[in-house]
This record gives sequence, C-alpha cells and structure tokens, in this order.
Amino acid sequence: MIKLLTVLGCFVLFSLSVSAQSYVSLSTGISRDVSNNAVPFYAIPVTIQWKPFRKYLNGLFFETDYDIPIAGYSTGTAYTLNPSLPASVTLKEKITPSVFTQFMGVTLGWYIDASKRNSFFINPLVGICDQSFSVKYENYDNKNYEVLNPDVNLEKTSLVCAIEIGYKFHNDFIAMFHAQSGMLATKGSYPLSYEFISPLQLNFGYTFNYNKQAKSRKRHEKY
Amino acid sequence: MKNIKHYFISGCLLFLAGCGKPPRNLYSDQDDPGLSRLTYYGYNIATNYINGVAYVNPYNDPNYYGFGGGNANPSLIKYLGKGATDTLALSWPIEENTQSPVSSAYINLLLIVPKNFTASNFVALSGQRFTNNTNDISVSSNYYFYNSNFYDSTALVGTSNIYFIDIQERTDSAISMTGLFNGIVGNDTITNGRFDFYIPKALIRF
Repeated sequence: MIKLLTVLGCFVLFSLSVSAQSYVSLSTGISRDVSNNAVPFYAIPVTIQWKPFRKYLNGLFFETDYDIPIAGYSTGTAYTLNPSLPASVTLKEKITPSVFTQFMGVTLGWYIDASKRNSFFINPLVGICDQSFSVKYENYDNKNYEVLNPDVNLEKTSLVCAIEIGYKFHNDFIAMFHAQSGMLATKGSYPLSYEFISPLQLNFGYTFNYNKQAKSRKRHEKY
Repeated sequence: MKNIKHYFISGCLLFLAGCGKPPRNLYSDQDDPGLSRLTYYGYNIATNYINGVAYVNPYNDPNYYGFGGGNANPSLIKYLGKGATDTLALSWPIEENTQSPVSSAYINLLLIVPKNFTASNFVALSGQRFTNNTNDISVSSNYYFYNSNFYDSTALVGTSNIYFIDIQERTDSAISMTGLFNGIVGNDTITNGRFDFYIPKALIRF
C-alpha cells in the first residue's frame, strides 16, 4: 500500500511539473468506430486542446473534437407492387456520421527524458458529444419502391467520457491515442441498424506553448 | 391534507396505468406523410391512403380495453364459399390518421383459395406478389366483407394488388407478416398501403 502511494505521489509530482505552462495543441489522424462492427465508421479527427492555466497545480484543459466524416456503406432492400418493375431491389445505403465533442479534462504526465522535454501523459476527460447520422439510399425510386425496415437520420447529444494516452516528443510534437465511451443517450424505440459511435483515434500533432513560467524557461535555457 | 393524499394516489395510479401502455409504433415515413414506414417488427400497424387521405388502424386505449389495448389487431379468416373455393380475408379496422378521427371502417384484403387451404399454405405465400388487380378488396362498415354468406349493404368492393413480402409462423402459432397493397374500390383509390402484422392464433381461423 505504501509503495502504491509512493508511486502515485511521484506520478502526481511529475505530472504537475509537465503541465506547468499554457498551450494550444492541434492534432489530427485517423479514427475508427468500435461500436459498429458490421459497418465500422472511419473519420479524420481534428482535435484542438487548450490549457489556459500555467500554474503548476492546475492541469485543467479543454478539448474540442470534430470527426470529419467518411461515409459507411450498408445495404437495404426495397419492394414494389408495380408489376412492370422488379419485385425487389437491393439498394446501397450510405450512412454519414458526424461527431462533435467538447471535453474538459485534466492532464497528468511525467518526463521520460527531461533534457529533450519528452513526456508521457494521460488525460481523463468528460464532455458533451453531439452525434448525427445522415442516411441516404442511393438510386432509390421512392415513388415506386418502399424500403423494408429503413434506417433514418438521427441526431443526439449526450454525456461521454474519454481517456487519452500520449507521448510528447522533440519538444512539442505529440502522438496520442484517444478512446471514447459510447453515448448515454438512447437511440429511441425505432430499431436502427447502426449504433452510436465510440471513436478510437490515433492522432499526431503539435503543441504551441505560451505563457511559460519563469522556472520552466530557465530549465529550457539550461539545456 | 386529504387532497394531497388524493392527488398522490391518483398520480400513482396514472403512473402505473402509463407504465403498461403498449406502444403505438407508428413511425412516420418521410416520403409518405401520414403513413408508417414499411417494417417487419410485428408492430401491428397498417397504413394507406384513400383518395390521398392517410388512414391507420386505430389504437385502443388500454384504460378501456385492458389487455386488448394497443394497436387494433387484424384477423385472418377463411370464409366458406358455396362453390369449389373459399375466401380468405385479411381484415383490420381503419380510421383517418388525425388527432381526432371521426369515423372508422374496415379494410378486407380478399384471396380466393381452395377449400383445403391451411395456415401452412398461407405461410407459403411469403414472397409472392399478386398484381394486375387479380384480388378483391372491400371497405366495409363492419367486420364482414361482401360475399354470398356475409352481406354488408354498406360494403364497397373492388380489386387490389397484394405483395406478401414475408410471412412466418411463430412458435406460439401466431403469424407475422409484412406487405404492400393497393386497390380501387368504387370511386375510391387506395394507394401506398403497407402492413406489419403479428396476428395471434385466436384471430386466425382456417
């Protein structure tokens, strides 16, 4: 127990020193949804992190995530009574999801190589996530055909939580894994073939530091 | 104090009544306003246009109908014919899909079948499309359609097209089915009809 507390104490101590400056970071990469196994959604995440406080004792930061959607494809079957047309046709179903999340989190980290200011960090986050799904059946003749059990558009906003594990290297570059929970909201009573997205992201980016504390600058000059 | 107790008990009863209320399951089709989507979930919902006006099977308030509450059930009944055939009638009540529907009627989709037609034969119709107005349809003010055995003087009879997209017999001997229909009855045109039924055994009479 004492060992555990010692490790935890060291962790917090180092993490405070790493987060002792204000910064804005911008990162992007690739995101894969882990909720929809049949038709997994991919996206290009754009993440902006802003840590406004420079004090040692405040690792609070804000993060805005937007996943630039890449449409996923499924199929649907449509039927008609019109005797001059085929009784049923298979349609290509295009589902375009959009995910926007505003997070608030705390960054905890420690130096791996203090001389190069390389550090490892973990960010637990909570936030509000808005997910919308736009469904379109391609080449759908809706005058003559009816899609069976059709998917429809959906937009919901809900609480989510996430965890980020990353590495800051070469002073200010970052590589980061981001895993996000599913939404607390329900999809409603009508069954849809898709689930809310739980993105798993791999991001690369750059951190723009500003408002550094004197102690931090001195250390930087020393090296 | 007595009033508060009264309100509390009434509130609890209303809450309990609301808890067991069967769902309406009327999910709007964005392409056909007033109609439900074409589904196969056993929602017991049927919608269609009659001369462009949306109709739906009514919802029976469980506070009045008890366990019979929910979407009005259809029936599947084979009526005896005088000749070598019988008539199979898939019937359900309809009313205008408005907040305050004023009148109700019945739609009967009618198929001429052999005398030895069984529930299994009906299930075998799954996936079949009956077009070119080869079937009968009637809109009547009571449950029975027009034929030689059951005469409803108010019934209008016409021709219809039916597509049984899927029919399955369930383990409880109920039959679930989904399909499309349209028809012409007198001067009335029935269009964009679709049904998603789960018919309990008690309402299947072969």
